[in-house]
Amino acid sequence: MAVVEEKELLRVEQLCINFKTEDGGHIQAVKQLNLTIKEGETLALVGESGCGKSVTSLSLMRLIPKNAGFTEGKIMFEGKDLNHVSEREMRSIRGNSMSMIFQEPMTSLNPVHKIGKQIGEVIYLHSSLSKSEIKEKTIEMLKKVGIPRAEKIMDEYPHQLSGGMRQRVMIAMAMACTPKLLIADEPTTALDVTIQAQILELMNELKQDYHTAILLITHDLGVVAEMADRVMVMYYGQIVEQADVRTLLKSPKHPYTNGLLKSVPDMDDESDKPLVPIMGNVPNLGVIQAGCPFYARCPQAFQKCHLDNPPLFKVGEQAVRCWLYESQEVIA
Amino acid sequence: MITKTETTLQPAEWQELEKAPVSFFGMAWKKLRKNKGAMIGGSILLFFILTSVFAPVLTHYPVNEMRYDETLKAPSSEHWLGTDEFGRDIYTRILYGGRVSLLMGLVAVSIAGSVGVFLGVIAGYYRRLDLYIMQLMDILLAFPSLLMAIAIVAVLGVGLTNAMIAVAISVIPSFVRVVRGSVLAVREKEYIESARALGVRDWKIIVRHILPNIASPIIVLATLQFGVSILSAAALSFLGLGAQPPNPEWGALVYVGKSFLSQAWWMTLYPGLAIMLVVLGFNLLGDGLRDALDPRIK
Repeated sequence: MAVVEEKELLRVEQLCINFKTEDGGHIQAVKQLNLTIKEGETLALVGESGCGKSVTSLSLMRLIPKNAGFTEGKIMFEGKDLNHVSEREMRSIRGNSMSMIFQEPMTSLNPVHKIGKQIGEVIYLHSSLSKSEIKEKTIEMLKKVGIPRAEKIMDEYPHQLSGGMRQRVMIAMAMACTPKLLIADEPTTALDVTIQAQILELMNELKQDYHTAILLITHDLGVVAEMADRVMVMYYGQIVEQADVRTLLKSPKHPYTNGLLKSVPDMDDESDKPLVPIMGNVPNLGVIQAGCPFYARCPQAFQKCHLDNPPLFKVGEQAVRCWLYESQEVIA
Repeated sequence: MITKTETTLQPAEWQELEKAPVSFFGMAWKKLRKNKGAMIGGSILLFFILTSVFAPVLTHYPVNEMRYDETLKAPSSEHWLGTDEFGRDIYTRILYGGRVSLLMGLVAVSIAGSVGVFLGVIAGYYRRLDLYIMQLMDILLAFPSLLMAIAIVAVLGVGLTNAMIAVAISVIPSFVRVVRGSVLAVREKEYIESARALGVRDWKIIVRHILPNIASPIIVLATLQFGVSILSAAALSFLGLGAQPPNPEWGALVYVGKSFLSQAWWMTLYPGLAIMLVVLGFNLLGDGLRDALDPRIK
């Protein structure tokens, strides 16, 4: 199969995100994370609550308040290190070549402004179009995201729209300046399943039309299967497994990924086999421990896991952070 | 598999769109109209505003002309609310005094509102200055507001303008507190984060995204503080620190009238009644506005 090599859009190297704690110390929410996204690709970041997914996405846009935390490492976006560009330049990137949609469509739109004004503001910020051109473009975007009667919706307030409609408006806002990278932080979590499917389909369409890369943050493996090209599984602020979507869903290597997949109900399975949950919780980030952070919950843990945190091992095309694959080549 | 056609809208979503568009303040107005107290308060205020504005039409007596043959006359068909020690018509003086009293309230609330909103936004949005601003406000709040106003007048000197400034300063802390609290709540909302993620700069976020969202508490507070300011200004005048006779400011009228309390009760009763009614009007309207602008009360 001949694959055309796409240009690399985003490269994150050794990203560490630290948050200050009350007592003057700090905890590391994300540890030495590496990731790359090619143009037009969808990368899914998967993991349970509190594993550092959302923080990672915020740090890419440099939206973590300076007084709350600090980040280290390199974030190369279109050849620029985002940790070293001015705030002014960063603002011109946000919403323009990199934009974001949030989890809660109910609260992500400003209740006091009309829809048209909110979408128009983004276009106004990042282009030199005239008022009527902005209006035209806004209507075009609304139509693009599948909202009929776009002209009318322009003059309506967010509370007059349903959740699915609002998420469409959010997507229209995020895509208004045809960004190179769209960060979608749990875009469908707050929506019911039928709307969810429509929104995902819409995102796929837009991705194809505009050749936009998507960083999809989710905990829903069904969404991953539908959308992603590649998947990274995060646990306790680090990548534990990385693979293309088929490989990962078919043959998960890390016990955590395995556990995640086992805890999803299988529609085709007629037997009354109970779901297998992963016992316990993600350990507290404040507690520094020596071994693998998954050790306490891992069904396959052995002596070594308790002592050392494993590096990423190369297993075929996958990367796995687990001592079970100790015999393999170390990547990072 | 999902097909392309399914990405358009469901009938349920269509129906929702058919509803007539109503803005937030449109809905608030609707709720306000149903509130009896607020409507009564609003009517009282409208009455006093109109009588002050049209004072020259509503009376044929001059405000300050003294007529020594008419001194201390009790209310009659000629002088509806009686006359004072110099034969001036009390009804006329209350009409004209309303201009001064209402203006004092307006100026004090405008000054306090703009300074208070500015400081409150700075404290709430840029947390670095929060501690200093709020400590300053706590110091101001530690004094009873009237005592504080008296102290300021003592420093600035007696007079109408200084009284307005003094009242304004004593009201500032309550604005700062309310605004800061509201900003703190709104700045954490997702739409603010989303505005930031779209590349909107700080001052624009404040002006276009935060201020409109905290307009409700500011409107309510301004209305309630309007009444408080008029009362404080009248109190200052009553103590001889604000408007000076022969200025017909209501507090000053009461101040003059108290010397004649045993002979001419009408000299204190009617201006006092005017103060009471206006303050009551602002309080009723303020309470109504609070209910109408609160999205939780349906």
